Amino acid sequence: MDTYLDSKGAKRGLTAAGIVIAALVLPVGVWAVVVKGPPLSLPVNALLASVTERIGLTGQVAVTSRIIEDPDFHAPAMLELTINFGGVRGVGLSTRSVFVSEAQTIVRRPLLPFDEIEAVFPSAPGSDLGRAFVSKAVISVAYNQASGLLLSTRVVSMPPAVAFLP
Amino acid sequence: MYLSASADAQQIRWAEQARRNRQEIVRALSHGQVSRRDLLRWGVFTASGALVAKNGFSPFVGNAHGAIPTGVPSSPKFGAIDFSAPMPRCDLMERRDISTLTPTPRETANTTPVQVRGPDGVAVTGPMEGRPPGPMWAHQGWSNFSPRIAVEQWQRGACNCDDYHPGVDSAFNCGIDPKVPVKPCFHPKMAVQTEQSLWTFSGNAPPKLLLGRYGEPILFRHHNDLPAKVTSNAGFGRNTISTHEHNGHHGAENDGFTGAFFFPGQFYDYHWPIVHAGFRTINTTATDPRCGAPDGNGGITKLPGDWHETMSTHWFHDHMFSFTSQNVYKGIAAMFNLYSSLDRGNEAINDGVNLRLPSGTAKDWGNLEYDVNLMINDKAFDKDGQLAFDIFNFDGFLGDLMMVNLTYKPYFYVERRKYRFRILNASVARFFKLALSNGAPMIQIGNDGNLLPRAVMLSELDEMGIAERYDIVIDFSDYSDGTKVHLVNLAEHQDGKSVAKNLSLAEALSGKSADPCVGRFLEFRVRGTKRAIDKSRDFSQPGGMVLIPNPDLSKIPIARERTFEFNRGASQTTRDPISSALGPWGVKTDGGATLAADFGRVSALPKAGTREVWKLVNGGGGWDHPIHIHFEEGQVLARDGKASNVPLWEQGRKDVYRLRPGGSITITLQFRDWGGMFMEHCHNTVHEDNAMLLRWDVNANGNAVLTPLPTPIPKPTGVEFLAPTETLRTA
Repeated sequence: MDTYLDSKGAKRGLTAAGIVIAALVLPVGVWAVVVKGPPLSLPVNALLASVTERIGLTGQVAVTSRIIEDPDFHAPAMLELTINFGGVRGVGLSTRSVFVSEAQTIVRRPLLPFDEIEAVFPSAPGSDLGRAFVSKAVISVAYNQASGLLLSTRVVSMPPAVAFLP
Repeated sequence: MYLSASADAQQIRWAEQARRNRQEIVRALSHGQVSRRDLLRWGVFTASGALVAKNGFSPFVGNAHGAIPTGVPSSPKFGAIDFSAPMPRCDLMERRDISTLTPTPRETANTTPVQVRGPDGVAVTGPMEGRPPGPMWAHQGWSNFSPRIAVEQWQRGACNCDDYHPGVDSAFNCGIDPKVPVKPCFHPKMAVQTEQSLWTFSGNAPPKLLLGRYGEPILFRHHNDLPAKVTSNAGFGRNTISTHEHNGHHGAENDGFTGAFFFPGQFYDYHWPIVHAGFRTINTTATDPRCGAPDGNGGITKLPGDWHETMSTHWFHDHMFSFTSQNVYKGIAAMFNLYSSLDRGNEAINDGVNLRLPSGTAKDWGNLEYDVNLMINDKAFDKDGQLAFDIFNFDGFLGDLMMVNLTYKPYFYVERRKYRFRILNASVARFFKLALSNGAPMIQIGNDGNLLPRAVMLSELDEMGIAERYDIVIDFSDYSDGTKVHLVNLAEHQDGKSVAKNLSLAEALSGKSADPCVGRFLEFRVRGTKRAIDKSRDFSQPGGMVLIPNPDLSKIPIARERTFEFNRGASQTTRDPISSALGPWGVKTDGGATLAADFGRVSALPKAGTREVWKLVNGGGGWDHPIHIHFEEGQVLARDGKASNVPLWEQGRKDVYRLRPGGSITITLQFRDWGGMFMEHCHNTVHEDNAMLLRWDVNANGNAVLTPLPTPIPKPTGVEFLAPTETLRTA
């Protein structure tokens, strides 16, 4: 069967391992455009149910954003959110234990007029893995192209804690 | 990119024909019959490295009869069901006393004449050892760090594993009987790989694991027993190899330099002294027990060096110039656990030094019962079920089958206690972002080869670039007997440039993603009606999260700052037929031109004994690069110009630096103890091969003048040396 390379008469005898090269100038890539949004603090006020007790969550979720253009391939712009849960604090209503989180997550998604980004994060009394509980932050992102690179976020809900016992 | 299960027969036929066309090109490239320049000249690839949008070639172009992209045929699974095969532990490499090694290893290369195979398979007379000869490539520190342990491996084509050593009882290994030969297949229902399809250490699966401890130098003798003819490779891969211990602190002659490859019929002796960095200048009288190693009797052997530089999880893999992606994908990869007084692999020894990370207690060091290596990657098969490598463009190859320890979507039994998992991204171009299926927290204790200054509790790990290692602790104590929890990948790809979308846990578990490697890929099956005995570290105690602080570099002046920008649009300024590569990817150093790889070109020449700051910049927004710097660990000073942008899990030391699209990362490194020529490159190994790699030298001779080193040019008849093709003015 004539293969593509056979049709080119291209295959030659075996050569020593190596690659023949020549000077070849290729087009230079265009610098990417990165726009950083203002840092945001999203208030948190929720009552969650862990396996053992109800926990009141308050505080702030800190969000920083970047919009990354792709002038080389003209792919859709990407939105990158860095979400820091370090400002979220929980208090157990029964035990009065204080739950803190050090979690961060970095989420990158195509920039859309509207998107809902979910991020799961643990909170625990100190670093007590055995008493940690997990919550889900749902961040709504609205992008208004007419106004330029305008990013607004709000916390839609903090659903009841998902216990990590199945 | 991969066709859905509902693709019709016509689509599948077109896709299969296109794949055959592309595989012909991969085959011809690997055989040396065509060059990348040829492909550009014929219009097969565009100047930017994209496969020409052509019917019958590109998976992204609609067929002549309709608008639907041909896509890529899905890999056949031959009826393999997800989570129906046990995940095997890695196979331990045998460690022997150095006296058993024949011929006796030498400080300089052994040039005894033997028959060496050239690319056409014809034997010629050449040196027994493929290491470049002479004093420049002699093992540094040979006398002071004489090898004590010999590890001898043969790189060969696939065969059964008749001598499987998981290092644990079968009860800890899903009941796998080590006396039953292990066939080289990715699942019992999948095809057995031929010796031309899969190449690996000893030719067999499971992947190999080497255990080493500080103060116990290893001589790794690697025999090239691959098929003699370069064409005996099932269409991809190159039978000349170079082995990189990622990220060992040793002389360049042992680092697997991309141009120091060797031929079938030869071996290469790699001398790994296993020392703490800074041993010449810090703690030189070895008085600090934190800088030490298990002594075999419950105690510590104190060693010179900086205990802050202790490393834990390494791996080693092939680094053949322009063929790293194909050879690593083909199986030339293994893991390497390093043990120290801090991380000794015995969770019960409570001596005030040992961090007691989950491991086991039976042996003095290196217990593996609760310390599990996970090599994760994506593979693809041809229609016969043989491992296949494809080119769509030069952005990166993605498989559609998730593997853990070379097993398709396996299960793994765990007891109700804490486990340490050493996770390695061993893919060619795929990033992963991991979470547990129920969102349960994990504790990340390590990043790349280094335990963190402080562990971090997370539900979603950060994206993992190729070659990054994340060590995590998962606590299964509170699960009931029979519970199943899965490791999930949240990073959805459309191509090899970068992650297209980070999915939420719900999205990833929904099964709706078009990326077959998203979602559940490893099933943990919890066993036990009560909690298992767990003597490992209690992270909840005060100070429980504190591990290994970074070395304080504030008093070490910064000798130099450099900027490396990773771009498309490389230009070629040198023409050596062996050392130069052509491709769309390149590196711009200190504001110069973006240059394609040439391992004869010296791009940086840091002075031994100094510290520098390197800024790594992503020149584009449409791609990501995990940049690896050989030899030295770095500390991340800033991301996108700010220290506050550095997340907690990157505040330790690293050796792979994921730039992120449009991003930059600033690091600081010291250059000390050893010298030679090392590399810096993108670890998306398709980018590396096309040609995003540079060489930097450090001349440890102490001379005031920084002298670039001659470049080795291996041939079957012996290694020649050439002057560097170029030394950048800014080097």
